[in-house]
Amino acid sequence: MIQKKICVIGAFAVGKTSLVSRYVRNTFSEKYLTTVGVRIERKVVRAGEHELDLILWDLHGEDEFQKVRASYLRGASGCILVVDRTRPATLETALRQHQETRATLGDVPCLFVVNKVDLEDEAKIEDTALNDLRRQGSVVIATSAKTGLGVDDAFETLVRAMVAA
Amino acid sequence: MSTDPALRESSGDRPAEPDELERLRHLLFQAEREQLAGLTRRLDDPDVRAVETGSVLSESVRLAVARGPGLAVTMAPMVEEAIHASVRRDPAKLVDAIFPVMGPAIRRSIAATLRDMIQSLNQVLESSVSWRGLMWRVEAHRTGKPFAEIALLHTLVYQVEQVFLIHARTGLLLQHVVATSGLSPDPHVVSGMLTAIQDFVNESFNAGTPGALATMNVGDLTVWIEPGRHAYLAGIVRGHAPMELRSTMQDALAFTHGQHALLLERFQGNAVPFEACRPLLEACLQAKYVDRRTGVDRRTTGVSRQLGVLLAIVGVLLATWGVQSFRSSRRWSQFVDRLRAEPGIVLVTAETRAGRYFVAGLRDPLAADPARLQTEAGYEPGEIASRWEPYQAADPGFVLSRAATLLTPPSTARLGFDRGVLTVQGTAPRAWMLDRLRLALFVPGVDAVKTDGLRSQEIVDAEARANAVQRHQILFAVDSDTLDPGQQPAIEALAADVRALMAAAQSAAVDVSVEAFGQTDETGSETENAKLGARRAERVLAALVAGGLDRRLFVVRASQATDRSSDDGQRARKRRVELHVRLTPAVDASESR
Repeated sequence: MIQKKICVIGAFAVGKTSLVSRYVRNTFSEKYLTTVGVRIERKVVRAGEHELDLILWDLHGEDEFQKVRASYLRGASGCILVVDRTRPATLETALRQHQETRATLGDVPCLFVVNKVDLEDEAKIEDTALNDLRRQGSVVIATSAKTGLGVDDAFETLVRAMVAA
Repeated sequence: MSTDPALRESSGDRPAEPDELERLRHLLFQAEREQLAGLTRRLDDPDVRAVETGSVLSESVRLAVARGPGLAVTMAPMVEEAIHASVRRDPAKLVDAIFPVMGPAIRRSIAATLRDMIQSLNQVLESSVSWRGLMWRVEAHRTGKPFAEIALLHTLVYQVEQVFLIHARTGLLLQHVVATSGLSPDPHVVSGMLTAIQDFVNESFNAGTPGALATMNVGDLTVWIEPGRHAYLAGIVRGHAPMELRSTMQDALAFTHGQHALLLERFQGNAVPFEACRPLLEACLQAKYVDRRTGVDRRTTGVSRQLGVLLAIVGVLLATWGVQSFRSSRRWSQFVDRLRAEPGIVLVTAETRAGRYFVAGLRDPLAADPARLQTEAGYEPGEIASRWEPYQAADPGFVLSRAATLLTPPSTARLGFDRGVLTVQGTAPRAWMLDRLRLALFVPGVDAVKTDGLRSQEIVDAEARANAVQRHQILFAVDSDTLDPGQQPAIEALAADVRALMAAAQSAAVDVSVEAFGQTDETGSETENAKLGARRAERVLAALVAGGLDRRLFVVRASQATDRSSDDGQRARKRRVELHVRLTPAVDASESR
C-alpha cells in the first residue's frame, strides 16, 4: 500500500483539527498537539484501483507567536490550507503559507478549504476573493467541519490530484 | 580521397591513375586498414564479442559493486526472475542447491523455539513455586493486572518491544516489527510522531544535525533512535538495554541503506520492498531476563534452579514412592512367605487387587491365627481381606497338639509323635492310663500308641514306699534278741511305713511280700548266729504285728555277717533286723504295668 503524507495547515482556530477529526476517526493523542505542535492521524482510502494510506499531519495553527515548522512539511505529497470564512485574515495567512509550502515542497498538490460555511451570517470573506483565487489556478472548496459539508470532497479532491501528479 | 593541391602538383597536373591511387592508399593506410578490418570482424562476430566480454566481465562487476549497490539493485529483478524460471522448470535443482543450508537453518530455528519454550517454562515455574511468585500473585490481585504482566515486569532486564524503520524525510513508516508481548498502537502514527518530535527538538534547540535526539524516556520505556542518511531506526525498549543493542541497530540500519539506497533516496510512499528488512529488524527484538536472587542472566537458556528444584522434588517423591513401593512389596512378600511356611496353613491365593491385599486358603484350627500374623507383619486390621477354610493338618505338631488336647495327660507324662505312632513316656495315674489313653487311637493322624516308657504312678509310689521300708534298721545288743526299749520309736516308724506301703500297693494293684532278715555279727558260731538272727526277726515282727500288721505278710530270714575285720562300731550296725520288700503284680495283672 502506498503511503502519502498530507499536511493540514492554516491560521489558529480555523478548524483544522475539526476537519481532520471529521474525516478520520483515529486520533492518536491530544497531548502532542500542544507540546510539539502536530497531531498525526491516519486514514486508508481507495483511489481508483489502489489503496492509499493517508498520514495526515495536523499542524498547530499559526499565529503571531508561532510559525509552522518547515520541517513538518518535508516529504508531504499534498497540502490543505484551511481558511476561516469568518476571519479574512486567515485567508492572508493561508496565501502566505501556500508560498512557503511551495518553497519547501515544490509543486505538490495543494487546495484551499474555506471552513465554517455553516456560519452564513458571519461570513466575512467575499466570494469574489475566492473566485480570484480560483482564477489563479487554485482549487477552493467550501466546508463545514461542524456539519460535514464538503469535508470528504476536499480530501478526495486532494487525493485525486496527488495520484495524478 | 585526398584532393590536396600539393598532391595534384606533384603528379604533374594530371589525374592520378586508379592503380597508383590504390598503391598510394596502400602505402599510406595499410596498417590502419588492417586494424579497422580486425575491429570490424570483432564487432560483427558475436562469438568474439562474447569471449572478449567474458574476459573483463568479472572485473567490471567487481568495480560496479565497489561503486555502490546500483548493480545489485539492477540485477535483483533478473536474479529473481531467473530463480523463478529455474523453479518452474525443475524445482529439484533449487531444492538440491539449498538443501545443505536448510538443515542448519531448521535446526537453528528449532533450537531457538526450544530455548524460548524452556525460558518460558523456567519463568512460569519460578513464578509459580517461589515465595516471590506468591507475592507477585498478591500484587497482581491487588493491582488488577494479569499475573503474567506482573511477572514480566519483575523479571525483565530489558525487552525491545517494537522496532520502527522510518523514512527520515517523510516520516513515513518503512517497516515495523513488534514482540509478541509488546503493545502496538498504530505504527504509522507513531512513526510520524517520532519524526515530528525529532524535528521539533532539532529545531527548538538548533541542534542542526539530524538525529541528534538519540534517546527518549517515557516512564519505564526508552525510545532508542539510530539515525541514518535516508532512514532511521527507532527501538521501543522496556527496561535497561545494553549498548550492544546499539551496535545491532546500527548494523541493521547500515545493511538496509546498503541494500536499498536507491529506493530510500527515491522513496515515494511504497514500503513493500522493505519487507525484506524484517529479519534485520527482528534481530533487534531482543530481551533479557534475570534471576534477581543470583543476578544470573537467564537469556542463556538451560534448566533453571526452580526447574531443578521441581525435578529434585519429583525425584525425591519418585524415590520415596519407589522405596515405599519396594518396602510394601517386600513386606507383602515376607508376609506371604510366612503364611506359606506356617504349619497348618495352606495358602491358595495371595494377590493384590486395585491396591488391596487378598489371601485365601486352608487353615487348621490349631494353626497360628492369620490375623495375628498380619498384625505382626505391620498390616492394620482389615487391610488384608482373607478367607480361610478349616481343615486338619497332618503335621506332627498338630497331631501331637490334638492328642494333648484330647488326652489331657498329666504333667508327668510326655507325648511324642513320629510317623503315625504316638509315644507316651513318664508316669501317669493308673486311672488316666485306663480311661483316657485308650482314646489316643481316635486322634486324627495317630495309627498306633506306644507306651513302653510309661509307668503307673501308683506303682512308682509303692516302690518308693518299699524303699522307705527297706531303709529301716532295728539294732540289737551283742548276743541278744531283746528289743531295746530305745528302739520303740524306730519300730513304730517302721510299722507306719509298712502300712503306707500296703496302702500304696493296694492302689497300684500289686501284691507285697516282705522278708524280715535277722542278722548277727561275725562273732559266734554260724548255727547260733542263725538262730539268734531268726529270733531277732521274730522279735521285730512280733512288735509290728502288735502294732496291727498282718503276720502273714512277713517271712523270716536270718543271715550272718562274714566280714571279720570290723571293729565294734561296725559290728554293732551288723546286729540288726531289716525288711526286704518284693512287689509283684496282682492276680489281675493285665491292669497293671
